[in-house]
Amino acid sequence: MSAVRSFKKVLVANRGEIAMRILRTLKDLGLQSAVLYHRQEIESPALSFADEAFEVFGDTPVSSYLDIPQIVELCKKHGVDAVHPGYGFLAENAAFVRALDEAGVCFIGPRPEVMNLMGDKIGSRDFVAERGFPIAPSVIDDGDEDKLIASIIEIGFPVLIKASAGGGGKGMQIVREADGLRDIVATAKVEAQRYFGDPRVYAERYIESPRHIEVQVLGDEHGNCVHLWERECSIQRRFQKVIEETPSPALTPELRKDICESAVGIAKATNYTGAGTIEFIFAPNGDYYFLEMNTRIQVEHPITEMVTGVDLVAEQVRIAMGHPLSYSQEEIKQVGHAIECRICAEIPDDDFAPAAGKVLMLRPPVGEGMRFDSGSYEGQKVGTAFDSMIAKLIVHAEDRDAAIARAGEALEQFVLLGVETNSDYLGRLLRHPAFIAGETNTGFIKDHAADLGPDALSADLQTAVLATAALSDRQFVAAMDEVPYPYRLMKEWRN
Amino acid sequence: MRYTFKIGEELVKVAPRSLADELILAIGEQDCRVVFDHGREGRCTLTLDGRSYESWVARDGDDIYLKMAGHYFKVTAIDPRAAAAGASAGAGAISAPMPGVVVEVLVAEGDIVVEGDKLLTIESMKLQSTVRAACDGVVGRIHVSEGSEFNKDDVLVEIESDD
Amino acid sequence: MRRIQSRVNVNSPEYQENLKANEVRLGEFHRRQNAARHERPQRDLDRLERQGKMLPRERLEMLLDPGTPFLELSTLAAGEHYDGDSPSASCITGIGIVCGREVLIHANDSTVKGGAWYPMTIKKIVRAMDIAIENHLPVIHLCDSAGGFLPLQSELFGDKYFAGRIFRNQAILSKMGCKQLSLVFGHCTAGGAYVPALSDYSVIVRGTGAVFLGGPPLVKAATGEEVTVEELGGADMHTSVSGTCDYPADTEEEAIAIGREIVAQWSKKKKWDAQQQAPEAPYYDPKELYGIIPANIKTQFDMMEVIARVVDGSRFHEYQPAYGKTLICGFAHIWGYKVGIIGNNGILFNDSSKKAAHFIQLCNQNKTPLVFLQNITGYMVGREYEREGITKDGAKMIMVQAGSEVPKFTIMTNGSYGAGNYGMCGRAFDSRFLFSWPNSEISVMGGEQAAKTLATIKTTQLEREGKTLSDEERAKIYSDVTDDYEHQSSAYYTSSLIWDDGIIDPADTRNALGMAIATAMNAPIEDPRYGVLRV
Repeated sequence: MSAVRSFKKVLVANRGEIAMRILRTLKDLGLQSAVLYHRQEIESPALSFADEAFEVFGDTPVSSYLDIPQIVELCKKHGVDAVHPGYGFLAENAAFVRALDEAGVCFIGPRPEVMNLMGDKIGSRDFVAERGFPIAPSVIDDGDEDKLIASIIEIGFPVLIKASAGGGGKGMQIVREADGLRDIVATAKVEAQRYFGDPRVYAERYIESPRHIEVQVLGDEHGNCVHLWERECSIQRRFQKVIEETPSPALTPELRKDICESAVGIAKATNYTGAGTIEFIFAPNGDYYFLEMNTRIQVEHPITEMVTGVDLVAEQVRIAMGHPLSYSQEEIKQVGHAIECRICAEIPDDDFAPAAGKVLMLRPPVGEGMRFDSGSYEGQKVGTAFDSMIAKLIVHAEDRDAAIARAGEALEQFVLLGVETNSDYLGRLLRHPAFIAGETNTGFIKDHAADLGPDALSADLQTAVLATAALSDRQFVAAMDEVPYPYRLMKEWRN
Repeated sequence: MRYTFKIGEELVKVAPRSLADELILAIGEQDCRVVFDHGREGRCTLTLDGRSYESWVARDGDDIYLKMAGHYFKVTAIDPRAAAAGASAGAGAISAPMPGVVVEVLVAEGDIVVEGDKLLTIESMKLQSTVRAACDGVVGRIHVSEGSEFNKDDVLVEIESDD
Repeated sequence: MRRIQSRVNVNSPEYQENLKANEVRLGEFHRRQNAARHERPQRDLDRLERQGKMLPRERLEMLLDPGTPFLELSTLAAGEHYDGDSPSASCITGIGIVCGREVLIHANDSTVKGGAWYPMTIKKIVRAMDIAIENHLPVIHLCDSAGGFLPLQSELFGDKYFAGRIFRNQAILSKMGCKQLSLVFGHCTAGGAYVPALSDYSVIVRGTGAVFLGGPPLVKAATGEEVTVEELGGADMHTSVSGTCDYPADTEEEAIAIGREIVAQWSKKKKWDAQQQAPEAPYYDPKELYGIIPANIKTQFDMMEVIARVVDGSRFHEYQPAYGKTLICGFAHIWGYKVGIIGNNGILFNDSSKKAAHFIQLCNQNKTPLVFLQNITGYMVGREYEREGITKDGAKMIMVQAGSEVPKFTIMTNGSYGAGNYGMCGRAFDSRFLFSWPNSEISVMGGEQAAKTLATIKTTQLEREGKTLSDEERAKIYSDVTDDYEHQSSAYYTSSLIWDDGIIDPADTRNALGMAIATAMNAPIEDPRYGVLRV
């Protein structure tokens, strides 16, 4: 079990920024690296950054990265010892892990059993609840209405009632007090019958204005498991994180200790190996409940690296090699404050519709406490083929205010032209008084939508923009340059 | 001949008024004294009536992208010929509301359609939607086929009015 | 080059009196010019709007490069003719910059009788195209004309310089390699149809543009055939069937955009390598000319003060400053171009005539363009001067001036009488451009003198017929004759007849000359040769 394996060549079965991120650590570790690519990404910097690059084929670019037999075959053909899956694609695919096992290739990540267990929403909740960790209280209707009512009152208000058989928002309602509960339940059952042919209802504690708080954990094959503190990822749109930070402004030292220890407890219970994240829903009153576990490296892992100084990818690789963790829990300190902003090709002012285009200019921010993770490059065509995230801008400073200020500076410095991004919008989020006050929750973007619209721009600025654009336009400038002397000097003289 | 630029939804005419030692541009209704320095690697400096504006500028065909005063802008130079042609191409041209992929083409060129008829199924943001005829007429050019990707404002189908 | 030391005192009563008089003159000039350019019956403007057409001047402005000048020619042509029915002779001509190239523009004015050609219209167009030929300029025709104005057809058809000359000039221009582009916005009927047909390039607007030898009514009358305008000569027919026109356009804007693209393809010919330096504004304000030009035409003024307000930096190198002082000769720069200037400062005597002849030869030897500033009552008369050979000396001046190869430019600053007009490069002597100031007059002899002579002849004639005239009748005859004479010598009258290329505001002289000289440099300057001089 704990035999140390050595890797010579590691394949990154991913693309974009995470491929670049992983390749960087593989270089640091002195390992040979390889990366996958689809024909559309022939100009990606990952291709030249890695020692080798293997083309994957498929009907669409995405499907080629999901083609397990093809990737396993490539590993065999090119003598790959281990595969780092990054996030997304095959990162949480147990079948992939098994296929690699069979081929004698090491998967850098948890064992497939753990992946399956924690990858199942209901199963993982039950597993966690059984071991005494908090999950949101809920009750399932077994037909006994009195018992149901009593259980609902026990859960506490507000409570969310919906049809057991239903999905989506149909027949879903939030109840805030016991008065009239019986009538509401009765009506809900009738509606459930009408819509879904099953009168049973399901009730769950409804958490208003919750925060999304998650804890990074690392476990090795030697039974060690540590946390690397929390990340708050409450600023979301379309259930996608936009800004993440650590530490969370919501946690007291006691709560932090508590929630982090819960996370380690859960991870330990699964004998977790590798890097993982336990996600919690955090209520305004300080209660928190297990939401799910992600058995992979997360998009937002850099903020943890910034405050702890731990290279999470390096730890993943070491763990996969069978080494014990490089750090004890006591050695992992949370120093300063880190914020990550996800730069996405989208139009925030058009309900975050995806944007397409070609990256014409990319200028990463450079400065102390600034990190820029990106797989983008000038000339890249950004379309609907992949995820809309093009880069991550990560900052680290001594405290939250300084980190917010630094994030603002980094956004100011950062330039990406050719594709519309949420960069302006991220600036507006960072400047919002509620964000500055740490008053964040998963509804933040909706709740503050009115304040987060585009800044009113002065007429002078628009004029300056037009002047700059005109004087940068080939045709306009060519027409101007073509006017010969002395006519240029006569202006629009008319006799 | 003045050049038209599109910023947001607004069309603004820009023309030099003086190309002498002092450059004067008419921007919309306003005459501005301008000094412009196309710096290195897309870094530009503009002085407009004595005020200074720094920007990053990149071009892609007629589209000019810039970042100025912390904000991003896209300005499009309107080709006078395309603009004139567009005006006559008619209200029957149906363009994409957002970028996406064509799932199915439901009509053929020459088909007679009435307002509201289904023309295409498109997919954007994992959502399929139907593109319908905005007027009665005959299907003219279909600019896309199954599987083709398109951008916002690309013309997908043209409907020729039959009146 | 030294700066001219002006002796003008802007506070003097004389200056102020001139200023007052010239402000009145300029007011009148600008009023007439504005009326000729813009004042049209509402009915005609409405018709154009209904047809979806732009005004001729809107088309022109859209065609020109922004931020560049336009030198309009003969704005007041036909202003004193046809009871004012043909303002600006129903067309616009001028020199402008399109895609960085100097072009001669000829635009029909469809706000006047559908752009129909009056006799003066034809004279103005022919003159414009002569300018193109002399200066090797490409031409853009903005066509929108109903054809010849039939009621006056006898005055516009058949003679050497009548309508046919337009087409002859087009053919010559094409042969010379001067490109021509027609933008057909409206109808080009009968002779007018040859304008696009003889152009090297043509664009025609769908719906409004049409080209045909005979319009539908004429076709019906001639052959009984019934045919629509579109079928007969519309944009699609001509661009897809007959090949008479090259490019169809959906709108006037598009036609202009296509036209500009076409011009952008034209090779840029290298201009004559003229002696040039960086331009410099005059040191003295050109507007001070209003206080220098005399209120009374008979009052003498110093042409040196005019030069100081036209040339670069007011700098002037005077040639023979002490000889023949009634004629100023010397070198200066206008908009950076080296020029030789000849200006009148009094009557032409033997010495001043010989000085002129010599200076003109120097300029030809040096290939320096010549600018004539006319204010001349004539060559000196009298026994002594004839004995000295004043006629012979005047002939020398005319001989070398007429034989000049360098481009010549003439400004009528005040009076221009008799043979002085010839010596100082009047209209007959092929100035590349000739402009008049609003105060200027031209006649075979001075106004008062001529009126007296004419009145005497008339009175004598009446008396011979046995009529006795009262003093009042004599006075009336005299004043009628004087009025007529003055009217017919006025710049408005002569400009109406296109004896010049337009009346200009004196303060615009520098710009008008600058454009004229820069334009003239498109044609090479030949080596000098002259006729026989009576030495």
